[in-house]
Amino acid sequence: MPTFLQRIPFLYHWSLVVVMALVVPLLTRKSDKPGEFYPFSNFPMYSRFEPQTYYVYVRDLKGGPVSVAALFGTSITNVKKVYDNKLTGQKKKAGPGIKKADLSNEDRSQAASETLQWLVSIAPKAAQPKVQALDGLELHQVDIEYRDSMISKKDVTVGNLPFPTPLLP
Amino acid sequence: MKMLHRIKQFFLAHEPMRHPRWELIIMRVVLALLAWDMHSNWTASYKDPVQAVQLMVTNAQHADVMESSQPKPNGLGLLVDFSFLSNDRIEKRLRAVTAASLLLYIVGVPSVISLAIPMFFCLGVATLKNSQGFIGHTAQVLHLALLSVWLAGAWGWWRARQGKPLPWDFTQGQFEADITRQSIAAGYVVSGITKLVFSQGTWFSSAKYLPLHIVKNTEMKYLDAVNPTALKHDWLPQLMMEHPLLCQLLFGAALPLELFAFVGLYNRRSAALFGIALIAFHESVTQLMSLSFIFNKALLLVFFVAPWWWLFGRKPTSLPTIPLASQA
Repeated sequence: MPTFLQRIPFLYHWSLVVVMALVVPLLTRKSDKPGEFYPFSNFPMYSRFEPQTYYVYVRDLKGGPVSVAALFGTSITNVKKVYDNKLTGQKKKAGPGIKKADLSNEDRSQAASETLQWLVSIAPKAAQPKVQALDGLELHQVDIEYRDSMISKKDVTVGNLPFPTPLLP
Repeated sequence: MKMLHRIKQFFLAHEPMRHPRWELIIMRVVLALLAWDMHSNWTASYKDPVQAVQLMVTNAQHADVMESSQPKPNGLGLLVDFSFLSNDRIEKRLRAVTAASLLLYIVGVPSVISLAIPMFFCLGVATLKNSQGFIGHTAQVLHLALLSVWLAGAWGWWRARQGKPLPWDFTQGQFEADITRQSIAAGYVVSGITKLVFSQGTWFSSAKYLPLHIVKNTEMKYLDAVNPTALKHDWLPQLMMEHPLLCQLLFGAALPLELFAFVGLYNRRSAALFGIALIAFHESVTQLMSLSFIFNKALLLVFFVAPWWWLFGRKPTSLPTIPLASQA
């Protein structure tokens, strides 16, 4: 190893910083997830606080909220990430210049339906009878906005998945 | 000037941390337990030790990797298709070997051997899960630490074969602890750099929108398990909207903490100070946003703060002699 490198204190630390803050973001800049090469990541928790955001949740067709942790062994955060990813897919299909906010209800419904199919596909074997006992699932999107020191919310059903439905392989 | 010199000496005097053997054993136990969380999710009940131990045993028997393909490969998933890990026969055997290997790691079998399978299994499953189109960062700090320990183990083994000493005349265990600490600090420094770049400098001012994100996270936490106890802090966003400066101060202080986390590598004192400050930051986020950060907090506690060393391991001579103003 060159002598000048040996003189740098915490060489491993700074090597990781260069890899995660510079090399990985550079090499993955055109990928779906720039900056990510797990477990090397430049992901900063809450790098930006936006004045509007949204979350999603799941209901059964009778209207009751569904515990995704108990039934599917995942979290609402992951459901949102998948839905967001599906919206990105719809955005790409819609063509250049289209933003997620501009997507039609049909596009959102398609993304929601695919998200629910994914959710059903990851249900642990032990929980599958309970899942099938539901009539179906609905995905809700809740938009939250901060304006004039007030928080407003809008809850919309974006898609559903009635059972029985052919599940994704 | 003398005061500045003292402060510099206090924080930046490089005093390699020579952990005693018993402290290294604590580190091994904690790392092994955290690594086992991937197979048992026991940290979900870490406040109830009896239930946590039960989960370590019972949940591991039913653990099942459900992702059977890599639709959006990430990381090593670009090179290797880890979907074979969802094959129950392979998965169950690997999990059993992982449990045995982690026990061997705790009793002192060199990490290059004992951590090989647990580390690659953990990274493989995490990569498979992160190749579904979204990335989870909950255990990233842990997986980076595990990889770093294993790399340090391999490096130490190679140096020993060459008959060369480790840096700073560390023992193998001390070297692995040092490298692990460096990897943890790197995660924070990178996070700080990215925050500056992503927010284009508006990070402090936009922190006034924090209440919005508290509402989102609280409701998401409630909807995870449809558990009303998650709504216990639903009064907090209103309070924070009435005091936006509070949000800005709370989150504003985190940025320099992250950017300068490497200072915690210099000696026990700065490690403890940065460790405590970062744990306090994580805990405030846990309370406000219902995000656990359990791996970060545990690793900071063990590798940076090490309260047991301050209580039982510190010798009077282990603090540096700082010249008094009259002597300097």
